[in-house]
Amino acid sequence: MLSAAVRPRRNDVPHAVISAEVWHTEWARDLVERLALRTVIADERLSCERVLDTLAAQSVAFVCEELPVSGLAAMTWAARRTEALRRDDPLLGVVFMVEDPRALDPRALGPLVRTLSPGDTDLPGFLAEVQRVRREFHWEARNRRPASRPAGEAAARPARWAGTVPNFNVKHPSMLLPYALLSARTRREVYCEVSPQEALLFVADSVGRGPAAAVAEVFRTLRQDVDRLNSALGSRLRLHLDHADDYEVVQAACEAGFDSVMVDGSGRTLHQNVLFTNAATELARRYGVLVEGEIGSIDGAGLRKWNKTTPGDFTRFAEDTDLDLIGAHVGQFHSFDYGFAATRRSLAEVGLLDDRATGDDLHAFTEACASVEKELNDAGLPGYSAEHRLLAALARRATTEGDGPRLDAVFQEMRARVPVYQRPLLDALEKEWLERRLAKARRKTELWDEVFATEPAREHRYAAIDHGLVQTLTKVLDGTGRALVVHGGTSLSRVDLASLPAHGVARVNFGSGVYADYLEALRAHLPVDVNAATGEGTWKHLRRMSYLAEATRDWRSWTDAPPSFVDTFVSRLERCYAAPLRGRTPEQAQGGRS
Amino acid sequence: MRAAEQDSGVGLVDDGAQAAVEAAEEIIEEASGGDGGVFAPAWSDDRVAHLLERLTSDFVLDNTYREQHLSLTASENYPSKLVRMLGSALQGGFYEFAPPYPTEAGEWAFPDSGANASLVGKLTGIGRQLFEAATFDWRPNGGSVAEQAVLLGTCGRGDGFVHFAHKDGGHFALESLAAAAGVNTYHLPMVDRTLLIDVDRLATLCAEHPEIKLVILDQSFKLRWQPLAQIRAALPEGVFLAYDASHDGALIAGGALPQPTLLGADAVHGNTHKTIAGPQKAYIAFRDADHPRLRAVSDWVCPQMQSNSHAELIAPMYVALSEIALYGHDYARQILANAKALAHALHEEGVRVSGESFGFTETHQVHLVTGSAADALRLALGDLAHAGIRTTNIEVPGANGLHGLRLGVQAMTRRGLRETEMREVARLVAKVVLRRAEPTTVRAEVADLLQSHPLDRLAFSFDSHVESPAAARLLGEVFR
Repeated sequence: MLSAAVRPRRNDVPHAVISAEVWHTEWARDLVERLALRTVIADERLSCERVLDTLAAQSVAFVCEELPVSGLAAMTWAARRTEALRRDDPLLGVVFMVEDPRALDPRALGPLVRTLSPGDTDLPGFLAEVQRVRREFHWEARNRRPASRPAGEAAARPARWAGTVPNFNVKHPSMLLPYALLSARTRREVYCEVSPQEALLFVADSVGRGPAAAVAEVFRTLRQDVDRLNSALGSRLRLHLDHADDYEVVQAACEAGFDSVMVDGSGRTLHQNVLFTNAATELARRYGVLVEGEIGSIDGAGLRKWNKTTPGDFTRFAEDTDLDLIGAHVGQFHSFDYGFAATRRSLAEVGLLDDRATGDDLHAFTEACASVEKELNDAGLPGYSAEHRLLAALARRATTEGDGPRLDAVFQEMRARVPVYQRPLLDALEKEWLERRLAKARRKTELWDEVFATEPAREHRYAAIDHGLVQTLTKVLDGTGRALVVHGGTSLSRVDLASLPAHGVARVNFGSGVYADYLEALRAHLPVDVNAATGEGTWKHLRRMSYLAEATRDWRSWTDAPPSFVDTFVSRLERCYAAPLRGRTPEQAQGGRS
Repeated sequence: MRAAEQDSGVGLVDDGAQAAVEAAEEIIEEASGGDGGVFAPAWSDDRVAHLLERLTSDFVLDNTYREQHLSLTASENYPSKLVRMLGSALQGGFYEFAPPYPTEAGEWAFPDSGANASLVGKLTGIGRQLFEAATFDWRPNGGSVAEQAVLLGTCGRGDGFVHFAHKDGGHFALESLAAAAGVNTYHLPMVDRTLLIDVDRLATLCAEHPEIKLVILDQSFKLRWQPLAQIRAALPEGVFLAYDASHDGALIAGGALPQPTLLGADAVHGNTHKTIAGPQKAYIAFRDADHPRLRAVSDWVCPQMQSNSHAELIAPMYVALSEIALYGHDYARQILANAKALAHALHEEGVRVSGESFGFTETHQVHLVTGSAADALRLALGDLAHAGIRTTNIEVPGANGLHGLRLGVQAMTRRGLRETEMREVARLVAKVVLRRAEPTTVRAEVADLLQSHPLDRLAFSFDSHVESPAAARLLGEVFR
């Protein structure tokens, strides 16, 4: 007793809320208790809904209740209870205890809903699935400070820069070659960066592995490509992780051997940003990786377009963290949306919809039955009416025969048997069923559009950089060994770019403008109008990626004799982006060489 | 334990802690006779197992609720593990008379081991020390009993007493009792908006009503320290000045606020579950051991108002006061810093915070003005509660009848929140109060914030010592 009372523990073990009926059923209680969750027993004095009100959403893994009916009634019961229980948390797991597995076909239940029968062994798998989906939906769940420190000692801290270096976005792996060539020809260090969102959208194939695993695979491939180029060309191309607001993505980049990572907590409040940044920094230190943090919004296209980083926030952030580099918003435009968290959520939802939306989609059929049954009740037809019985017979026929006849065959069969005046009922049911299936497909299409809604358009306007603010921020970092990073470099004029070394800025990131330059150079090599034609979001992205895949299919073999468009692009990189950054550093400013 | 240690490494089971736990288990095993076999058949009784599991379920629910909620009510706190566990002490020995004046127990005496007397000695010793008092009566079963005993022990039929009007934060427990006992009630005159007592008018009031025998500063909605020395000087000879420290007891004992007894109060009294994180008990501490009212007040506590003083809570009270004695200096100052940080941050967020003229607060409390009584109630029991933020609605003193919320930071200070986190708390409160954010969204943020501040190891407490061999030996005896 004492050990349980005093032993330290984390409070993030999820809860299971089980009804008294389940708890009194020995086999069911045993199955639930084996999961070692924190169990709360609900009864007539303390309903499941009341318990769910008390406990914060996401802290309850699932609710387990008895299913007191069977057949069509069980389907509608399950649908209504699931809806009631999920009022605050749509990802709440719901388990219906049934003594007889035939009482309810599990295929008729929605995502993260299942039945529990004697002898079931897959409840742990169900729990893991609920937890996994939640982690995909809620970055808070996957970004909590880890219970234990990362293994191993902190590696030696890598050297920070003495001058200002360019950092180019990698929107496609073929872009690595010109970056490496730039480094080799200028004999200078050049950084290239990829955000998890870019890795997923532009490079990865994420089939079946989940976005985090797919991104990790991309990181490893990029590392190999960069190493190969450095070896072949004698370049000093460095690899940087851009805008990672995901702890496990930071870890994946570190494990892949990235030289630098950006832990971006700027979407959080300052306090949460500090907590996240420190946890991620602690991890990155184990790998000897340079760490960049982010303070204040740099999303020039978003709602906070004009919200430059305040010196007060910057000072507090610098004091409370142990970063090598800090990114801040000093007036530049930075229009790309790095919504990897939203993407993970969208992909998880697609997965949930895929889960039941195959074949006949019995879940959609169940919902259609419940809807039509309600209409029958609203129309005043008693429960014993022939129409109710017909509906029940249909549901039974559809769900009790395992891999039995397809639903359209069931409808066909019923049409031949029912009186003419009941035919509208069948067609109304079919309509409801198909509409639900269609709604799922439409939702998935919307979600894919959200995933690919990113538009790396060139920003033609130049932003007015706030030099006073840059000076103030760099002054805060004076003597700390840290330096400022400026994102959105392509939105800055050359004059402003050339002023950054004198301000002591360590790195300037170039994103969408460079990508547009690359596409322009490539189009000269292989003409096609990737911006023409109709279609937005998914189709536009698909067209661009298809073109890139085709046009750069053999890019890894270009190392010895790069195509002319690569040389054109490298010249532009040097002229427009790299050369302006070789201005005076603070040390050289007083009477030094230009 | 240093606060820095408390803030870090929560939940980690290091080798040392594990060894201590194992040692504790061995000690308990030994203390309980070491023969598990004797009890094994009883454990196999499903009825008992089921009963215990149902009880466990309730505790799981409540513990999780506490873990996931921001407790900003000014009147509650988190007792440490030892305080909670020692409430079961002394094998059901429930009675202890022990008034704070020399006397023979007589018919109130029971044969006992002498341990109670020893515990009382320890408790009264530390109580006297913390409140600069000559006596410390540990027996009142709550703050209301304590103040009612003071009233009945100092005033008789036809006498009068002065306390804070309810609109100025006065406690509700006295006026009905006074009316029933034939004691006239007067309210302390206040200087508008400063929330300070108008000492001159108080002197006039006492002069005009010589039947006044008691002035009791019983404020529950308390933002300011009152000019106690001036009040004492203004009162006629023989008027009893009592200070109710239910809310700011730990601030006084921790040295962040002055000692009332040193400024002229005849007695300081209060409960032990607000800023002092003890059991639900109370105390009355007299400045002078030979005070003429000591016996009357003490006798009203026991045996006249209560026959049983819950002696099982002596040890938890002692531990709670010991935590104040050891960590009270830092705890009290952190409370004040947190309250100020919370008030200023709320003000910056745009919330109307009472008391801007004096820096919003001089105690653990912060008062928000939100509008009507119905508005305040809706916020406290509706949106804020759904968002996982516990507060209480009040009529805000000095706000011309407007209502609002009373916040207190002592509980969250025990959970290790500091000024930085208080700014985060202010943001969350403002999201609900001002911006009408969806409570379930805020609730997720609250739970996220509190993840880093679990209840396992409270700051300014003995929690980190619960796994020590000494604590294991103590608990081994408690559960023997």
